[in-house]
Amino acid sequence: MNVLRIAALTWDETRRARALLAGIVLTAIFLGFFSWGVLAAASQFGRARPSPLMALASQSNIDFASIIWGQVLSAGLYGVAGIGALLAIFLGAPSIAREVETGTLQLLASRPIGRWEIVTGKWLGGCALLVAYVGGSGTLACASVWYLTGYAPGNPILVVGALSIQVVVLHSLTIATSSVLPTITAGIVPVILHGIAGVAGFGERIGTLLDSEILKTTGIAASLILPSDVAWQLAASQAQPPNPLPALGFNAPMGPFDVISAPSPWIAAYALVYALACLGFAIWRVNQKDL
Amino acid sequence: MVTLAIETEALSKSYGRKQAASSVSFSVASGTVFGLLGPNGAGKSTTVKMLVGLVRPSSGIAKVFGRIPSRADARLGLGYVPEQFRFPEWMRAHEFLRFHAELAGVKTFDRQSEVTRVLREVGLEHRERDQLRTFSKGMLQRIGIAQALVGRPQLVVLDEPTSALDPIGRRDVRDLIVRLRSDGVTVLLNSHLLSEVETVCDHVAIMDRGRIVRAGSMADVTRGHVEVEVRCAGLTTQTLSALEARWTAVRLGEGTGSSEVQTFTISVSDEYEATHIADVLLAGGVRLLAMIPRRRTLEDVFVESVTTTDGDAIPAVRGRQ
Repeated sequence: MNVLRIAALTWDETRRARALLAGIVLTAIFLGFFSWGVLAAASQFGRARPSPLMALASQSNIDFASIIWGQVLSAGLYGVAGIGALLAIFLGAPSIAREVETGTLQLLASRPIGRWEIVTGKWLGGCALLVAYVGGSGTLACASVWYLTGYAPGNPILVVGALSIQVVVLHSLTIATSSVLPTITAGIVPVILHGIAGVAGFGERIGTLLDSEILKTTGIAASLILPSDVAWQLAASQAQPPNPLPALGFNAPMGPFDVISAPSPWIAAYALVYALACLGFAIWRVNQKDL
Repeated sequence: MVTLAIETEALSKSYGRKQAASSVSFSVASGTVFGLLGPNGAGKSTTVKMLVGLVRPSSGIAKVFGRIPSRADARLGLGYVPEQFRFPEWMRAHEFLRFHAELAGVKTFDRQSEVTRVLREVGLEHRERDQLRTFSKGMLQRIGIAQALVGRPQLVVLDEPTSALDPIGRRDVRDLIVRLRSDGVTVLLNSHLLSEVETVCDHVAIMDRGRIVRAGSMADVTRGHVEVEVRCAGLTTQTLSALEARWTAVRLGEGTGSSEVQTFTISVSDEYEATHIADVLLAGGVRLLAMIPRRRTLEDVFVESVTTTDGDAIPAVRGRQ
């Protein structure tokens, strides 16, 4: 029960600090621009002169429109995932470190509640906010593309679910760093790790194209160290139609957001275990802490 | 049988090589007001934090109503005002107190009346709906005290509760502490304001460099030499010699303008012994105009007890000796 009280406090604080309002307004602007871009692309698509690639696709019975709109949707979701990742880190970094620095945690911890309840409540409140954010904005991006182009991913729930896993992983990692490091450092570490994971993810995709074991192994290792980018890859793979090019003898991506080989669904389970391990570490660390 | 609200035994805390508290042992009887004194860095706040479960002792035992304070259930009847903390200023006063009432285990239907009660206790009932960011520093300190009172705790730990208050606010807090004691609540007061501690505390402990250097009831701690100021007329050399033969610390005061009237002070062991001064004066035919015994204040005791880091007396105090 105390966990829910602390979670509700986290919600309330974010709402009252107008962070939620700012997030909603700016995301609405982002989705507005995105929808405007989709609309412009949709109106151009029918009138554009067929390219040689389109002609080839047409001869091979490939749904070229689905490939294009899958890429367009992925671009929108890439924006949602990027903003979600930053929010996950910004919300998590001060959650313990700043509360210790300002003495707010001392006041809570002197109450008849366990420290695990405080940490879990903050984690739960933050995760709920972030999942609501990526869930809402991801769904709106999918709905916008479907309404304007008729394209819908095979399973939009899996898309939104994978995006949610990404923010939960990043938020959990940041809560863990916040339990050991000062506020600013607690935010810098996950930003850099997430950046490295993203670059390693690109490396893995290039490694797949070039059939380079070193690049692929590096990418997989980075996914295990921080499964945030791989969660994004899972979302992108679910947002796009299956890649028909390998069947035609081309080992090439469909576009800049194609993940080439979809991550195993087990990576989702791994990411959730990873998030819980981060939470467990934060609880252990705060329990050990002299406040 | 006296119930102990707080009990510590050889309580110690070290941070690396720094010993913040060293073998601290004291007990606080239920329903009394206990003052913890000491200069900055003496280990008072560390001791207080060990008592409310915020800091883990390196060794020794701390118990609050017989239970280890690091356990959540031991803190059920505990109210605590930290020395420094930032208020969630985005909250309104009643929301902040209501939240703490929830955490303190106050039942849903009782929470509003509890919030109203504690706001009245600290004189802020008219600011119930106001946001904390509109409160002055002193008002925030009052709200901090109010949150410690929600749920009618059996033990209230106040760490420098009046540092931001004006004289009226300080008096209000003193009155509040006295009311709490009359309601059977135990209060642990950690304060730099010695006059405040002297006014309300039943027992005190003085800490210095992590150790308790003096402890006991207020009367015991301040007991000792009594300075007696004497005003008399017709003091002869013979009588003065008789006084000096018995009490070495006879100091003649300044003249009062009349050659007849003399003022001097004598240091005696207690107030009873002071009556013998009168006997000597009257035997010598001296007319006794006034005898004013002055007990040692807590400040005197504090200053005697506390030394600076190099082991000398505090310079300001040395000048007064």
